[in-house]
Amino acid sequence: MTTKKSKWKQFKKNFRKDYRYFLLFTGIALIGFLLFYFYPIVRTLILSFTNKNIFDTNAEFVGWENYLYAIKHDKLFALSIKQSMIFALVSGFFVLVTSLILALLLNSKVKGIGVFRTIYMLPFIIPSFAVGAVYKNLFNPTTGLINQVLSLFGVTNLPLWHISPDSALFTMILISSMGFGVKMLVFLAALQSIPEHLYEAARVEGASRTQQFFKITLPLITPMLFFNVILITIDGLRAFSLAFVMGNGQGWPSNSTLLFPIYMFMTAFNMPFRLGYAAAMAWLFFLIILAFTLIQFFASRFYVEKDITLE
Amino acid sequence: MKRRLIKLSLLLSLLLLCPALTGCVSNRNVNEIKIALDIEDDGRYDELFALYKEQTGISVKATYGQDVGKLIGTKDEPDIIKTSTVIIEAMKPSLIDLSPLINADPSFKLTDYIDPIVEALTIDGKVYALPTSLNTSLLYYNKAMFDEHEDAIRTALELEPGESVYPQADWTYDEFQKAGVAMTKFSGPPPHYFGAETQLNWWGEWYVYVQQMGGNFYVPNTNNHRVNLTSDEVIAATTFFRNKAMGPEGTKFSPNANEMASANSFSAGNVAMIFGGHLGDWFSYDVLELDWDIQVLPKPIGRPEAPGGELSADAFGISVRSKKVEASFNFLKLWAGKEGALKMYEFGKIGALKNMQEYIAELPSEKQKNLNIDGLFAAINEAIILPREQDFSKIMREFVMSELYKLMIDGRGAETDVVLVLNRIQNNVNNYYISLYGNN
Repeated sequence: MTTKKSKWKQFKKNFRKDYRYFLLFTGIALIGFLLFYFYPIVRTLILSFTNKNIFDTNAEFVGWENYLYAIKHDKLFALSIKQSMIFALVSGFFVLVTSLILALLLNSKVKGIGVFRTIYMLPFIIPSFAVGAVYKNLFNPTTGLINQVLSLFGVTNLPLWHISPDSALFTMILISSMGFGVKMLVFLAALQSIPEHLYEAARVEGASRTQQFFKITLPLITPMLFFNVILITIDGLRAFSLAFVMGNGQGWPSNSTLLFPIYMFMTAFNMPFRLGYAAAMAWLFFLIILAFTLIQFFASRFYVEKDITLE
Repeated sequence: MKRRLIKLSLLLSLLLLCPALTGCVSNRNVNEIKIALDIEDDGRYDELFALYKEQTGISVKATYGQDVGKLIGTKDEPDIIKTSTVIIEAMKPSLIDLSPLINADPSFKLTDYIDPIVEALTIDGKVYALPTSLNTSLLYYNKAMFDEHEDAIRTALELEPGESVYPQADWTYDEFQKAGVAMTKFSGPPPHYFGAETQLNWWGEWYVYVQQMGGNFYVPNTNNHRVNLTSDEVIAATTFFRNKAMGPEGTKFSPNANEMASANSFSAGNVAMIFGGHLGDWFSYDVLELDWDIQVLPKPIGRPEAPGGELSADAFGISVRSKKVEASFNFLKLWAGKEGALKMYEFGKIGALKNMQEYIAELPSEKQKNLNIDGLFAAINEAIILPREQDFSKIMREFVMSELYKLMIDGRGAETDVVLVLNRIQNNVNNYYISLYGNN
């Protein structure tokens, strides 16, 4: 009995001590999280059950009405979700492939590789708004550089890029595919952690470069591949800045670049300022992203190598 | 050591609390009212604020470029809030009813303001804001471009020697188009020139054509929850809107969506006219050193009695959370009155007072603007307030302009059948309203 009591006392003492340190190290971040993340999340959830508009001081509780309206009646909600999905999946695929290829190239041992790494990282530090504005000019159907180059190669039926509702989303996907910066770094870090002796052994065994890639490189970087897939999907689904610039903040032309975050923003902050409805849409979208992420976690069982020990 | 630490902590806490405490104290300053203005207004009205302080002893603290929505959302809005005839319906829960203050003040007359504007700011008999400056659709023209193409315009309009080539108050769409075509050069190597702009990011131009041709967006005598866009008038208006950008050489005088992307604009100096341009850009045209003037909007052929363009107004109301209602109202009277209007006129804003034209005429010549002010007030008199429907701008942006865009593009994704597109818009808008309100 006495032992039990003293053990309990010891646990309480340690817990208090640990707790003190826990608060000391995480306190400020925790306050920040509670104020700027947790509170807005809870507030959004509450708002989603009201008919609140920005200027309304007394919002009414409307139950599931906002959710049901978005699912049953709002065609633009469905369109924006569909376009966000297409954008996230297609641009995500391009980003993943580009970042992996570039990471493989930048992992090679050539002179001045540091300079190349810096050059490839540079686009990442430019804000998306500026990137969008520059690309908008580059893709201008009449005066842009891209079409001028295409016409030099004899292309007669020049694409209209972001001007046509048929190709605007595709143009945006192309531009966003340049956003490989951080993902490339993640792959590069993973590639550099693969011990050289594995490749040496493979070469001794007579493995070709393709075999080395599929048998050694790819399996060993699958945890990072999975991490990048999650990152890219979430980035793609919540893409805002580029779509805002490309679509004049309104999904132009003809709602063809209307991604979900833009539609949510328009609903909340343009006339008639339906904050409650936008909050409900945000929660529905959260559920979609969550479902996507869970599917990816499930799928990761089949391609992510476990228990990798690199020595 | 422990005591030192405690003292140090206390000192740090007090230092951190100081700004917060100062903020609290300043909030209770009874001799100050707050107003939030646009970023470009920074410093413009300091003289007016000083005048108010001189009259009342109360200072006006202005903040610039802050989002009023966010301020209201965080319950940190100023005493005086900017609104407009367009968003008053959505903003009214944040604003107090000014009617009791207006009725209790014999020195203030609501009848001094232009009637349709006052009506737009009055909901269920309650006045929520006082108008400060007007916005109306006008025909803007670049005089330098007209001078440059004088011979071509004279020939196109069959003008006698001595007759002005500039747009006239009795212009019809025919003259508008002929002059526009005479200044247009869109084929061959650049630079290209166009007779008029095409408004695709905003509904104003198309909507005014519809209105002037006798069409209606909402079905008349309904509660603005049903549209009929397949009437002859709307089809004619949309066809004119399309042809001026998509028609063949000799008809076309505006850039289409493809050409708009190449920065063909009035501001860039290669487009001669804007049909339905608004007042807010006067300052920027001057900064760009454009040689420009204004005229009333041209009318459809055979419809000289057609209405003008849109009429709206910026307005200011008092926050429901303001503790300085009386002081705020006194400032509003000055702000929306003659003194405020004349100050705003210096920056290209036109007050919503019935006597505004007389007040401008009283100004010394150096403060006058070398513009067709008679034309401006004629345009105000014939303009029409936008329908009061809280979803109007959303509908226009998301359903109407997005579909009309397809008529204005050359290439993939284009539509050419005006009636088909109008039918689609009509169905989309009506379905939207049915999903919100049923068949009411």
